[in-house]
Amino acid sequence: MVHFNWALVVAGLLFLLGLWGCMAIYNATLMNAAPFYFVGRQFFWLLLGLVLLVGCARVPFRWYRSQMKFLAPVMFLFLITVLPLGIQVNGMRGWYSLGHFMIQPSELAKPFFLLTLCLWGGHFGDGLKRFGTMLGITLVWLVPVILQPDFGTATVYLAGFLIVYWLSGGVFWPLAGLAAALVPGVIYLLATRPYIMRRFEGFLTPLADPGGSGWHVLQFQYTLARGGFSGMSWGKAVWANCYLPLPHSDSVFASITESLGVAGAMPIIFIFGLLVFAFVKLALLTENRERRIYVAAFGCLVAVQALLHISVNVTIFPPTGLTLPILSYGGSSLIATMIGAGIALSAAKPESEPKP
Amino acid sequence: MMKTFKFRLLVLVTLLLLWGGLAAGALLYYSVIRRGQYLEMGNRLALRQGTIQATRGRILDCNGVVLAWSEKYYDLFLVNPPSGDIRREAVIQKLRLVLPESEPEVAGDAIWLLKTDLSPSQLMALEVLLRSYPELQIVPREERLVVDYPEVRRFIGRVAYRRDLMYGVDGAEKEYDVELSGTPGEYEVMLDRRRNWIAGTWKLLAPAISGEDMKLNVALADLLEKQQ
Repeated sequence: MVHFNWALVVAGLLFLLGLWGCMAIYNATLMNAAPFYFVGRQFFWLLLGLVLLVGCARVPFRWYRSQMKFLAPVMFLFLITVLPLGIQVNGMRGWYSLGHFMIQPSELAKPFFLLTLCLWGGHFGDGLKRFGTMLGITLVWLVPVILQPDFGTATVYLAGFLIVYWLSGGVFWPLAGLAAALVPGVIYLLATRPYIMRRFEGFLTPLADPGGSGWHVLQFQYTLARGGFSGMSWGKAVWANCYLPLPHSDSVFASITESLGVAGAMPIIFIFGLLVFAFVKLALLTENRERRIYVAAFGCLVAVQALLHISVNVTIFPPTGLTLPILSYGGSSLIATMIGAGIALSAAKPESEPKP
Repeated sequence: MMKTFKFRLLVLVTLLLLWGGLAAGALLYYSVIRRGQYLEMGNRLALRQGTIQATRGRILDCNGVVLAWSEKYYDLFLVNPPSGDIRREAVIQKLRLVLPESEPEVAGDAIWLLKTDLSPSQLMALEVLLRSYPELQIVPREERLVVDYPEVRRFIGRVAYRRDLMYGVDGAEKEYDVELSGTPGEYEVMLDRRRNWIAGTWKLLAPAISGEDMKLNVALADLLEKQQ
């Protein structure tokens, strides 16, 4: 009974966030020539996402496990073929164009990447062997994302690896070793790619170059300041509309803050916290180990992506393009989250299902 | 096994909670604690104040015949023309649907004069286009007109512009400049990144007060007689 309730809480919170997202997108695009264009599409994606959430939750988890040998390669193929066949948007070759719709495979592949890690990664011994296997799987999925190049999504994939590795009982020292091994590479990158360093300097001291590398950081700060405690009122996200990059997508949290202030933005952080809590509760009620890891890892990964987006928007993280799960405009992101959550709800169902 | 999982999950959730707390703290810092400072910096970047011309008063002869008056005209400009060819072409094409006779006239790198002396019906027809393309701007212009007789024109004198404000150079225009000029108004508006006005942000700070009408002691008939 308790189990059923937490699943319902997850579905309810996702729907609530989806509706909030539709309002936020309308608010962020009100100054466009067609203010209902984005919100209308997002509402359609939300309804489709809900159907997929329920559908994926009703499919027995053993089906996902048995079909992963097909699902994983298909999703990976989908992810890698975007490089030669996809179109370039905002400097990234990461979308398939289907007439009026665009599909971002790196978003749709996310839950299947996590499922691959949970189902396959933990079966190859302990210690360094497990670490190597999981890291190998992650790198295979990560390379096409980096080649697009979509560093925001790549960070989420990397976070997925760290979460699953940690929850599956991975030992700490290989992670420390990997971090130490990466240090020379990072130094080399900083030395040979000055724009990365400039971007970092712009993040640390935006006022040193307000019209250049510090521009985006300062615009986020001005947007938050305009919001104040109670906001400029709904539909008045003027700064976000005119000065922030993609106010309905990558900057949606700041645009909500400008309209509703701290009073309207804090509940979003709270609801994401509640969503993680519901996934954690579901995970703790799940008996099977790999299912339990997937449920908890998926909840935590949604929280990590949300916190990355919010951190960029409140300028405690350098600017990078990343959507706020469920709330930001984007069908691929919303549907991927709904599919991932549906698989998590399926995984959290009791083990009393009939054997195939 | 379950105990280890619970412990690791607890560590992970604690880290996420700390991260969330840090983000909430930063949100409070910029939105509430240091709000004034960042608001001022933002306003310095985007808010601009400007003057509204006061309508210059009329000059009348002793019988109340109007000798000099002001008329307002509206011109259409493309301010800071967008560098992208596609958008620029879209603006020009859509403009041709509303004003078929308009042809862009390049006046400097940043501003194109598209059409002068817009009629009231043209102003209304342009309303939707202006909302979609903020780089299109209607700029009011005031012209001083005088009864078309050389002697009257000489007696009334000339006007010129200094910082967008009309002032009398000689004749009656100069003599009664203070009374005719009125008091200019003041407005504030928010500009976007391309320095275009943002719709709905225009605010009147002080209304313009029109200049007084000046009744002279001389009659038009006397001036015409003098001319003959």
